[in-house]
Amino acid sequence: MQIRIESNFVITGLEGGDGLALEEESTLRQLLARVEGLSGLDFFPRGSEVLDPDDWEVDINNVPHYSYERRLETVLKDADLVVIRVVATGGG
Amino acid sequence: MKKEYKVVGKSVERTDARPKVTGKARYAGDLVAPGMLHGKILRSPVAHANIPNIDTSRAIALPGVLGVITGRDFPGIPFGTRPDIRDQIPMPITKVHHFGEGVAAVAAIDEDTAEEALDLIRVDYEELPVVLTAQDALAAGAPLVNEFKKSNICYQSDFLFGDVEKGFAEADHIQEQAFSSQRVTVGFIEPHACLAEVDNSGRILLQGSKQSPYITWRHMCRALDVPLSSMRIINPFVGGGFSGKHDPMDVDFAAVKLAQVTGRPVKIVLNNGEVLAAYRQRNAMNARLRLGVKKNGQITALHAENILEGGPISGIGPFNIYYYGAFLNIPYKIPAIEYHGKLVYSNRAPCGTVRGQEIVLAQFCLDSLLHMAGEELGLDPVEMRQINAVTDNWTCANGIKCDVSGLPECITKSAEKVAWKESRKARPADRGIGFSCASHPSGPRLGGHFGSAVVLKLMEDGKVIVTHGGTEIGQGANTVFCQMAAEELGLPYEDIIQGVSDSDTTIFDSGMFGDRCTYWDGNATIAAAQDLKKQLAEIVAAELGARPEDLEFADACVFVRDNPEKGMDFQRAVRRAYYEKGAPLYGRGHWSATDIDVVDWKTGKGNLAHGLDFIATAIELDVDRETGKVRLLRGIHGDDAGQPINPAMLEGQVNGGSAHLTGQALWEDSLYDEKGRAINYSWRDYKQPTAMDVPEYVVEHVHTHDPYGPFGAKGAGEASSCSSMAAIANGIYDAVGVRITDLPITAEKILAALNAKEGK
Repeated sequence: MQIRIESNFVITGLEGGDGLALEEESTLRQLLARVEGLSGLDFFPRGSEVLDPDDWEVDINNVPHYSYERRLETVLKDADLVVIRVVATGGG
Repeated sequence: MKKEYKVVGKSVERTDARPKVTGKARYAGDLVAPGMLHGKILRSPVAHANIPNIDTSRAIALPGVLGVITGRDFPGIPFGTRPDIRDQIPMPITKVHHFGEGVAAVAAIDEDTAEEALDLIRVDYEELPVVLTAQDALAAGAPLVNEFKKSNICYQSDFLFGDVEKGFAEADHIQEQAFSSQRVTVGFIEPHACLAEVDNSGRILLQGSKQSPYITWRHMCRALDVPLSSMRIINPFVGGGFSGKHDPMDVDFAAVKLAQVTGRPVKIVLNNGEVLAAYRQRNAMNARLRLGVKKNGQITALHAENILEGGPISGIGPFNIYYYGAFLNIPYKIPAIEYHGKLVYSNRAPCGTVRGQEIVLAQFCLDSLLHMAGEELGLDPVEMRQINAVTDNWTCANGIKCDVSGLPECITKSAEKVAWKESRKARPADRGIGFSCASHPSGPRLGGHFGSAVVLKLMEDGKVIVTHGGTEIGQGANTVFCQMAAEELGLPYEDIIQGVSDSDTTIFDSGMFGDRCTYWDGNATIAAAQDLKKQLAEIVAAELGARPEDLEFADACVFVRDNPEKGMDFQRAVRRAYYEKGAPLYGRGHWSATDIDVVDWKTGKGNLAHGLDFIATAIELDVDRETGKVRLLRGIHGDDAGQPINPAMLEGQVNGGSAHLTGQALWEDSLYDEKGRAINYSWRDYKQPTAMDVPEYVVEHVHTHDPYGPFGAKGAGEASSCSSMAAIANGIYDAVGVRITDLPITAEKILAALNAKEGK
């Protein structure tokens, strides 16, 4: 299945904007792991099991992922839209 | 009808003037605590090396030494402004990245003992090849600088707005030029200093010289692996920041860790040599710009590439490389723009930025290029700027929206004041006038924590204490907030007292940067004052036989609107609250530009900020053809900062910004040898402008009213730093006909160019 991915920053490996092809029944966590592998990003530093809301906002089909009952374990469907936003500490 | 203000718009005395001029202001270095130890930092003599071993055993054995730490004493958690660019740790663990980097720290009973202990620490350095320039960083096989990244490209910013190809096709003339700039230091007068304490519960108290205590707080808690509630930050007086004190430094981390290790308060005060060698500098620029213009001077398109060399960590560099491109969109109307920016790592000192951020560099390039194009087309530089100047309700190609622009009037005023037209008829030999314009946002909204909050505490004696989330770093923020609170509450300025900036009682702003404080915290101050008035009105309304919403506050009285006889003095109203109701009165206000689009880092699109302030700078100078020396004669700034809150302080900011950047324009240069070791890290060898070097300045205020600004004000202080370098470069060209595009424009470069021009 093909998952659409949008972001507010350049994700290395996804510059083309085509999203990612994943196996059926893949979860959001598995998608993020794929993105980590492509980009070198670290969504779960030091063994964390959850996304730090100070760092990331991740939505599925424009709904915050934590609003889904299974959160990161939510099973994605073909053509789902996953939005990954980076949160900055401040300016300078 | 224009409202008459009683406090706003007046050059009242600064809240901090007397303690500062009498020497009573307490900076971080003045602080003491019972049982306090003194800390010192051991610094790397090399720019790039593995450090397989650090032996501290002899140092800790020295009598009087109570603690020695290295990078291994920290959790090893990287921090940084965004999660995708965390590339910094408190002190190095496996390798050093630049000359002067702190590798170990000591706490002892006095400074001499701490210094002696540093000599007893043995560090094994395995030197590595150094990366000093952007070209080095991008070369095939270049050594990697940052151990958290697999490339020397730290960050990229690319965007395309409008039809650039069409813009160049429609141009009658295309001007292209490469520009470069040097490393410069920040130049505050108070070196980094802090006092750290840890209480019985383990809670940390840090009192430091910080420009943006929130950023320090967030980064330190992450790197120390403690929650925000386990750390308290109090800001004492700060002796200047200029963007060099945003983030936590090794001095802050070392003081905290040594306090944790020893159980005693630890103070560390750096010297200027340490700061100049190893702390924040401005990125070095390598840029190439291409500008398309019509015969009448109208810009049709711009293409820009830029590589910033930024030292071994990202810091706020991603914002710098983005800003460079984003602010090429303004102050001129450019319908199409393409930009490609890279920030690269190197083994020179870490970069933050310096006053004006990298908008300074963008504007140097853009306004130099504009002048060059005008010369080719035979156009008057003033008219060319007028043709292109951003006007009211203009939306830039990248989405920046300008509500109110005083720029056309600024250009007119500066040209008139400097007598531009007259100078074209007759002027002394080798004398010239250079123009440049600039715009700066009143605090960009970049995402994350970006609101501003103010609390006003009404005291029983009728005085009001202001605490705000901004930071007073010498720019006068505290004074303007007191003025605004006084104006809104109808109280004398003297009745408003500035409170302490303390994370336990203050909601910190995201930082003090980008001309944001007056605008953001100013709006929050007004909201807090309105909240306070509302509470007080509800308490006394019945006694005055009126509805709360019908009460007004002015001249230290509360009275019924249109019936001033029916009222009471403010003091009595306060006593009604405290004596009869027992009601604590706190006014709370906050402001955030929530209607502004947060920047999309991928596309570069975003309207960024309200309150764009504008400036048109004209600098008159002469050049000595025998020596190449430039003498600045007059600096005229037509300045649109909206409604000036405190005109004298505003002029100080405008003139200060211009004077500051005179150094980068003409001579400042942080030099390194071929091994990356800093060379000129003393104030004797590194020259910044003094009163002897700057010209007579004149500020011509252009009063506009910003619809979102507090009392119509905009930010101020950085636009003049953005306009001054190109004005100097253009003035030198006007004087002697040589164009230097590689900063600094030293006497030697001018002389060489003159000799080349004359065939010598």
